[in-house]
Amino acid sequence: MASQRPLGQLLGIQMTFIAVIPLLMVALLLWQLALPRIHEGISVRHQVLAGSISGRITTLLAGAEHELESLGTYIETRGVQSQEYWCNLLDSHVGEGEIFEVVYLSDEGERVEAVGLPVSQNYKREDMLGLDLSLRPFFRRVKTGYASTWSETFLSTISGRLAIALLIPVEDRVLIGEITIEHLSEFISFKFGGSALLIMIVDGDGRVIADSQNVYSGQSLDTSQIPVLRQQSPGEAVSATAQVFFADHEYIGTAVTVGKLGWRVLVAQPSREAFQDLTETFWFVAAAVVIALVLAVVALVQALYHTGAGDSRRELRPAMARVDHSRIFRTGRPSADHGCGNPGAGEGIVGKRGEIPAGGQQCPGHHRPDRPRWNDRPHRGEGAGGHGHETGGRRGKIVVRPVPV
Amino acid sequence: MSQVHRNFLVSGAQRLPLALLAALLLLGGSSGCSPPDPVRIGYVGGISGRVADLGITGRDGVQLAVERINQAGGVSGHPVEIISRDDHQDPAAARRVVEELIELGVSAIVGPMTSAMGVAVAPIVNEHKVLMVSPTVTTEELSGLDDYFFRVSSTTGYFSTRNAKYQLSQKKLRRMAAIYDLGNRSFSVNWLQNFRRTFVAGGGEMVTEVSFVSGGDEKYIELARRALTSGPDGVLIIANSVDSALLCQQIRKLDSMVPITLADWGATERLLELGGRAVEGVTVIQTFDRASNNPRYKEFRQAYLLRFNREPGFAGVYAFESTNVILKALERMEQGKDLKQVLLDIPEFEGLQSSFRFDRFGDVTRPHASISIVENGQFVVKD
Repeated sequence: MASQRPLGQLLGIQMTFIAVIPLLMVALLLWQLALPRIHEGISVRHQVLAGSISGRITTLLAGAEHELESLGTYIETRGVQSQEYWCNLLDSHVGEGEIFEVVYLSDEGERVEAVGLPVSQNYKREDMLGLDLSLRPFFRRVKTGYASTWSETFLSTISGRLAIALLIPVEDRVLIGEITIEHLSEFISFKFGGSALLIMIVDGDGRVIADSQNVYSGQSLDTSQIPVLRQQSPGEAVSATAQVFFADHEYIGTAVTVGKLGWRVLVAQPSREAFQDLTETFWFVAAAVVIALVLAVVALVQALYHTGAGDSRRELRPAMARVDHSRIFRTGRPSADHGCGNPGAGEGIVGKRGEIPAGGQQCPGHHRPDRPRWNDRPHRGEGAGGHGHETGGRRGKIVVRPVPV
Repeated sequence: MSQVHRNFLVSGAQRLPLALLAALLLLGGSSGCSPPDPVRIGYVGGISGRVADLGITGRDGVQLAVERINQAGGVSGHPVEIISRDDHQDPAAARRVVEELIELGVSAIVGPMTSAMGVAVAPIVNEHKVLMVSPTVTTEELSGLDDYFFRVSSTTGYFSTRNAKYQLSQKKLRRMAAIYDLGNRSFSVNWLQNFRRTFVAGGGEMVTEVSFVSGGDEKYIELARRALTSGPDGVLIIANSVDSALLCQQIRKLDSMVPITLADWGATERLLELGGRAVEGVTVIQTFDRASNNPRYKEFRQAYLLRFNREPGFAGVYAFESTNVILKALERMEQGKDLKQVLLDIPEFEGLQSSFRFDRFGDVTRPHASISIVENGQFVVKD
């Protein structure tokens, strides 16, 4: 049995399909073809940038490591010397503090035997000599491995600034170089401060060592919530590009591991900026389709408004013909209503096609007192019996059904 | 759906109002509501320089409290956002960043972490009627004032008086030397005055008082020499943890036996790291008990260690409590009511180690101040 579906609804469904299918196709193509390419492009760009920063840090630290190792080797060859001799030697490697903020040579008792300081800090030498370093976290670390070791980040005793230490065993003594890393933040914010990119250097504990916006430095990130910053396994240089959130802002970010320190350089870009072209394209297409759909609906309504009477009439003609046949059977004369058209169409109320309101039943200028009215017509089951059309039981209503073929 | 694909749609929708309209039309207007505005809480503390351990640990305590409330759904459905600022332990910088936080529309501020900064910024929060709850400011300069400055620590008077009595009665010290930092004058001078008053009243004598400014050019070994010149029975150090550790190291170079006691300010985990064996036997007064068996504290400590990979110390604990105080008041906030009044209307707060209550001036007196001694690189409660 055919379902009862107004013509307006059918047209609406058709219009919706016309609008939605192209949009879905566009979305699908963007989603499956363009988006992965853009994503890959972003990832590559981020990796290149992060790799460049990581390389710079690695180079800086490798230089410091090489210098301190050479110094350690030299100290081993010099045997026993005076404290003054060692201090002068260490001072010459510290210079103005460009790389090393301070260099200690600790004795076997884990006390400072000699210290190298920048020229501006020389007055602190007496304070530093003899200091007990035994409970410094970096010292505990070197005791376990007893090889060249990089420390975690800590606050420098000399300056109070964030620093890391490199420890080189020299026979039964340890050479310790403290390197301030605060200038990393200065470098990054100077280089990328004006851009929308967020660059972060994060240590192994998730603490932000440096960031381009000077907002997050020193903060501990909850890396369990930031998959891209989770600790990489040794040797894994690059992590995947993924979504990250900072201060409720959404970014797409890529992290690259820095050498053997376990740090990560994160390059993140606001998602809306990263996908701006693509999303704008998509949503403009969507907007265009919606506008086109709205215009089509308006045009349709207008067309129906102006010509809907004829269309309705054609649509209704078979039904009306059957009604007339029944009338002929009953009255013995044909209806004079043919050619009158749908009386309601001219009033713009053919909202649901096929519904003819009771108030619009009379044909202006064709009214005859003896002419039967719509509500005089036989009820369902009477007369033609319906081949796809039926007169409704309600007053003056005709429901048009699709004719089964 | 992959994150990238989600990014694509979400960011697009944010980008274009037109797109949003289109999406609404296409999806039958089934879009969700925009997320509720966040509640902003400011944090101000010295997160760089010599007192950075206090500032960083405090900020991490705030962060943990906020992460927890956000995981629980926020304050009345609103997520909480921290805006953190560094006061650089400089009064001018502290005033500037507090004004900045107020301009950014914070509901309340946690901090600062030192008394000098507290004295510097209190007039600003009073002027703007913005509630400030300090975890660690203890100066009596801010006591007994009906203002917007609250704190969750007892005052210096309480600590210093208790310490002086302990040195007299338990350590049997009669001649004390003091080294104190004028960089945090409102704390250290206040502390010293209270200590001196009680100590002298109990029959003791302050034989030497040596001041310095943290971060200045003075040699610590010289400060130690001056303090020890008059042959005191003991040395009192009123300074931050770095300076306290370095001063202890210098004192031990000159005298391996003289008893050393510290103000509560210096008693952080960093003192132990930097002081090494030189701080063994040093006494310190605190209301904070690292060995507390309170389940709330133990659970908090575990969470803090897991999250930040280090001990919370008193700064982390009090910062956590300060933040919870503010969050609780915000949850009870009623239309047209002052946050300060809401806070004062709450009779008692459940702290991590003990309950506490504010008096009408926003001050707190913590019970059970104890004397700890450093043994084997740890603080051990003795009295």
